[in-house]
Amino acid sequence: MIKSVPALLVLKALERDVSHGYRIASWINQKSGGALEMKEGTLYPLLHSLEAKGLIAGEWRHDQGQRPVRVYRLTDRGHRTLRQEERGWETFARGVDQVLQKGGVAHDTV
Amino acid sequence: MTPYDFLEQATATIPSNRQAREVRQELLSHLLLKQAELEENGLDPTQAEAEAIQSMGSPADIAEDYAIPETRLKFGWALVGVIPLGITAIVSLENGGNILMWLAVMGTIAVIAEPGRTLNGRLRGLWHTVQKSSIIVAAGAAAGLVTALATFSIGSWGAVAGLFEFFGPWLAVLYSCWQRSSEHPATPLSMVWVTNGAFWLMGGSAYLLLHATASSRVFGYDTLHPMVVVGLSLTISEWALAHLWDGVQWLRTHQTRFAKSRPLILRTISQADSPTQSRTEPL
Repeated sequence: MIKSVPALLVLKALERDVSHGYRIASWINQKSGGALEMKEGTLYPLLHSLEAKGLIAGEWRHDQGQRPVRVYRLTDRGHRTLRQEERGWETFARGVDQVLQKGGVAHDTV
Repeated sequence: MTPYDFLEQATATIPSNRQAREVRQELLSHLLLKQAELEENGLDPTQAEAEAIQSMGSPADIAEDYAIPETRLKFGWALVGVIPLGITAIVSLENGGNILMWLAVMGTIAVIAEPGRTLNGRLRGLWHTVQKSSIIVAAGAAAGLVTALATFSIGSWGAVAGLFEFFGPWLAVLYSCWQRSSEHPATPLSMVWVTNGAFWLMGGSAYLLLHATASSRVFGYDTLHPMVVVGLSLTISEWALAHLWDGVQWLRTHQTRFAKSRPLILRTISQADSPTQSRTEPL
């Protein structure tokens, strides 16, 4: 069963390109149609935890005339974990759907 | 609440000053990006700052999520209890007979290996698993002692004791790595097993070397040097392998420093410079 949905979302957000925390939160919010909001209190400790596990790599970006931002990218291990977690999520979601559908049928037949 | 107050409160639980400073900087950049977006939407700077801070949520909640255990190197107090054993072992080695010599040699090696194992575990933030694995070391040493006495009493010398005492620390390292791979599934299991396989090979080789040294009587039973050399070699090898392992991990997670992935970063920086693009299609 999937361990952390926020972790899965963050890994997915970094699948194709590097990004910083603000953009990751915005991307998740945008892609979910506003349904999911990643709070900063969850996002940054999670990013640092994933970095400590070697799933993502962070790096300070210093652009001239702009404040430094810390950008993250998915490591090879992160890509592999993302694929595993996506498969796990599919199984998990399918299982929940079946339970809910069966629950509904049972309720209807009573 | 000012941004300064917010950042101070949000990072109050982070034990490392360096890490706290980096997190404050990262949160501040998030805050400023949020503020800039709000200003683009028509708010004046003061309102935008207040709104941005409010949107970040409670700093206490952030601080709670950052209340991570201390992972910096600390002195392993268990070593204090082990040092007298080492001194006893060395004295026994110089003054004792056959069985005492073997116990002393194996004890010395275990003692020499112990700091390496403890520090190694501490450096990897595995203090709790090291503490657990110490039980295995103690069990191995106790089994070695019993076996040594048993084999000596029937006229044989304590070679089997050497096996137990010798492999005790390696078993503990194996246990630590297994714990690590259980707690952090991202750890490549192959690396764990390769590392431990090397430990076992070293342990076996060193044991054979010890056996040959003692049997040939080239060095005599009352000399310490070959045994110390073997023990030190094992400890240094353990550290070297551990650092090699960590080095490989570092390379795997910091590939952005190499030219291979630099164009990707530069491309992303140019995308990030466009606020419209970053809002509509950030990735």
